[in-house]
Amino acid sequence: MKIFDSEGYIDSEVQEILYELGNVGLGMASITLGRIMGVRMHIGVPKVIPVNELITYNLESVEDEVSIWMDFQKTLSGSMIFVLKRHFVDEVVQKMGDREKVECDETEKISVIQEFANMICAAYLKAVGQYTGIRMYVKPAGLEIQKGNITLKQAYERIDDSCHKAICVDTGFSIAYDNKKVIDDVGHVIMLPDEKSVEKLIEPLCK
Amino acid sequence: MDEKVLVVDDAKFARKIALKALQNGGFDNVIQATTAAEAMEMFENENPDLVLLDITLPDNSDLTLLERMMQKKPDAKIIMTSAIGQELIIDDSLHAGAKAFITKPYGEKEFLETIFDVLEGRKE
Repeated sequence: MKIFDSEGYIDSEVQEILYELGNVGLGMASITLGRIMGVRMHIGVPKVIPVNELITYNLESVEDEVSIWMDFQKTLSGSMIFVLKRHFVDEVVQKMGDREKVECDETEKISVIQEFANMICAAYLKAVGQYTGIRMYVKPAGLEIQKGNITLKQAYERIDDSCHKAICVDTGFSIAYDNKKVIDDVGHVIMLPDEKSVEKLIEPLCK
Repeated sequence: MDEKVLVVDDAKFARKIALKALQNGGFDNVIQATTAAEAMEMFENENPDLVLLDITLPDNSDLTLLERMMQKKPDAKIIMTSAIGQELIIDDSLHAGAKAFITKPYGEKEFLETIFDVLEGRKE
């Protein structure tokens, strides 16, 4: 199946499928997040765009964001990227420590964040794997604290080194607490497979 | 408990949780590894009674390490502990010889019950 049409736009059926994968992925992740944080996750509308449009994103971050990279391994190429607001990450660290009844020193906080990303990523990929029947392995590739738009520029440059065409499935989310307080746009989960990997993801769903 | 347990996880936080649960379960002979290479060396040299093995490590992100351990010692008692919840991968792990698969985040009670089941041979 052609991923891009003759004018270079993402094929509409491919878009629909990736949109759904972004939806179910974050849907499954929301269950894990709920268990860890005791909050409800409100999932945004997935955006499916070519990777070169990432750098045109208008993310005017007024605070630092934490970005966590996980690279696909084995059968797929590309990355999963988490861009999370710093204050949300601080809360994650606190909640995870409370949940496990362990105190974390500064050096362990990075480990907690990474573990959080592992769990959310695994839940996301569990859903995608169930849909596609593909075994999806990832490996942590990096963690940065910086402005969100820098991360996305890096994503573009990084993915461009290995494969010039990749598709970004970007799903943002908000958090709702039991007291009805809602914090908007606390993070984005970005699935960034290269073109060949998109073909592998799509193929089982087009039969 | 006399059993020697090898915990393999690159995340310090995850190892801390496992250690705490193991201590609460009476296991005081626990060794740790943070990479596949280190884990394999400890597996060969220390001969643990039980291995708690994460799939995602800096130098191994699939079931290769599990397969190498099972090849080295076919009766090894290995429990996968991973955030990966994909059923295909869980099935693959069990077919490759893991005795059980615990998906993170896990509760201490479930964690220890699984460990005791495996050590006592109730899970094959």
